[in-house]
Amino acid sequence: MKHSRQHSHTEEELISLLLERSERAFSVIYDAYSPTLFGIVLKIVRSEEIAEDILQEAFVKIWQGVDKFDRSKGSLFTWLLNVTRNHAIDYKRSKYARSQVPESENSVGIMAEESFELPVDTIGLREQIDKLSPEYKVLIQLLYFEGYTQKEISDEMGIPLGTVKTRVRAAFIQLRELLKEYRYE
Amino acid sequence: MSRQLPVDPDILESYVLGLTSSEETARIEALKRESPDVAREVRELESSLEKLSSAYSKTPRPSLKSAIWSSIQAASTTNSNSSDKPTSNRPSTSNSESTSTINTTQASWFSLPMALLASLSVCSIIAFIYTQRQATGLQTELEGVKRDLLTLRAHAQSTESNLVAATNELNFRNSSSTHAIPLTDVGHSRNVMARIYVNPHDTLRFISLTEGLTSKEDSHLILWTYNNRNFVAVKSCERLEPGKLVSFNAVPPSSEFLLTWESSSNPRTPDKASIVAVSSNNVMLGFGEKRRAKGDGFIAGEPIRRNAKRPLPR
Repeated sequence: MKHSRQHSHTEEELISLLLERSERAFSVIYDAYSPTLFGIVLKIVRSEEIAEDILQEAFVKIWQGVDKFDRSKGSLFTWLLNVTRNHAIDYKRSKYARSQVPESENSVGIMAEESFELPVDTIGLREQIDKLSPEYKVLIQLLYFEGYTQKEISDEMGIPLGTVKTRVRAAFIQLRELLKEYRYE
Repeated sequence: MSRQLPVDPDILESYVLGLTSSEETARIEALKRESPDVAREVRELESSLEKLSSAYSKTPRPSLKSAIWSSIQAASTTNSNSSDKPTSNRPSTSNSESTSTINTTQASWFSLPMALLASLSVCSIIAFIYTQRQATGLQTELEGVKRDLLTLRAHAQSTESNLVAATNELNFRNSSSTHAIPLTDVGHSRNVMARIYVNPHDTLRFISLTEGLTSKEDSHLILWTYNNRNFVAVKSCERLEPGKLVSFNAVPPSSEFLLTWESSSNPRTPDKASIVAVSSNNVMLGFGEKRRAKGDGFIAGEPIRRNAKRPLPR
């Protein structure tokens, strides 16, 4: 099953464009990746207005740090995701965000509960992710979308650190199995 | 996947999640270069996270694109301005051990204004740097204030919407309604209706009872919350009357509430208890009833039968 992005460039072409730092380069990169990056930030900070600010700052960071991108260390998409996600998590953990944004009492269980309209090609992905075991969903939510470390999860949930690591491993295995049919064009 | 990796798989997962230390990161990156298996495993983990991220894609509003590009350009301009600092302090590379014969008198005449000019230049540079730092500090502070305002606005909007929801429910109660939810099963009690209102931010919860409550004059209603596997009595309301609105203010949050009604002559031993379980977003999750067997006291924490979920009418 294919999951298509909104561009027709290879990763090498995108990297070359990025290094150009031209407006055309920005337009291509933004159109290709902004929905995913915005979606991730929105999932972390849970406010559209704040997510827009975070995305804006992340793109400035990306633009300024493009020389630091090392192709040998990973894909462009992963690098963009990490810069953006880390910026969002840093904001969430900053003094301005802590105890200001009201946390839902069901915050841990929200991975499958958003109600905004989804593009058709992500519906299948979401359906697969919804099949994750509830305990693995919680772990992925805490680790990836809340920025918890495994030690923090262990302390918070009263589970031995070794058990957390074992479950994370199992969560990744299950996630990989569920998503293995999906690939990008 | 059964291939042997030269590294604990747990650390690769930590790596892709950004949880490794700088030493561990450097070690894994070296391993990636040396071992195709490690590189492949990391790539597969990253791919899973990329797909996971893509599942939550949402297109931002169209005008954001130009706003971001403007920010990038502004940031680039600021950076290029700050890099245009004078570099005139570098010594000249030309081998100018000039042997020009400068008259000593002329040199002393010349050196005083030069010294003054140099001092003025240094003072100007110091003032400029200080002003720049002040501006940067103010800028940072402004950014922080802006974030605070956005957060406060989000919080206020959320509180406002909860209050509106609670007000609407109150108004709805007064009209003849076919949406009232029975507190207990039909047949066990007579037409006792209740709704639960929840405002998670203000912890304001109140329960509305409509007509039909059969109670003695001396009976009263007790609200219990579920805390650490026990029900704890929180509030009581006396002189219960059919149709009377009962409010329990400032009730602590709880996943379940228990309502019991008792007579003053025999406190703490209700004949029957009804359970209402609610979530934080105004959804009544279930309700049920527990009957006390004759001669037994009420036993907290016993499993309560639940009925189907019914959302509150909007």
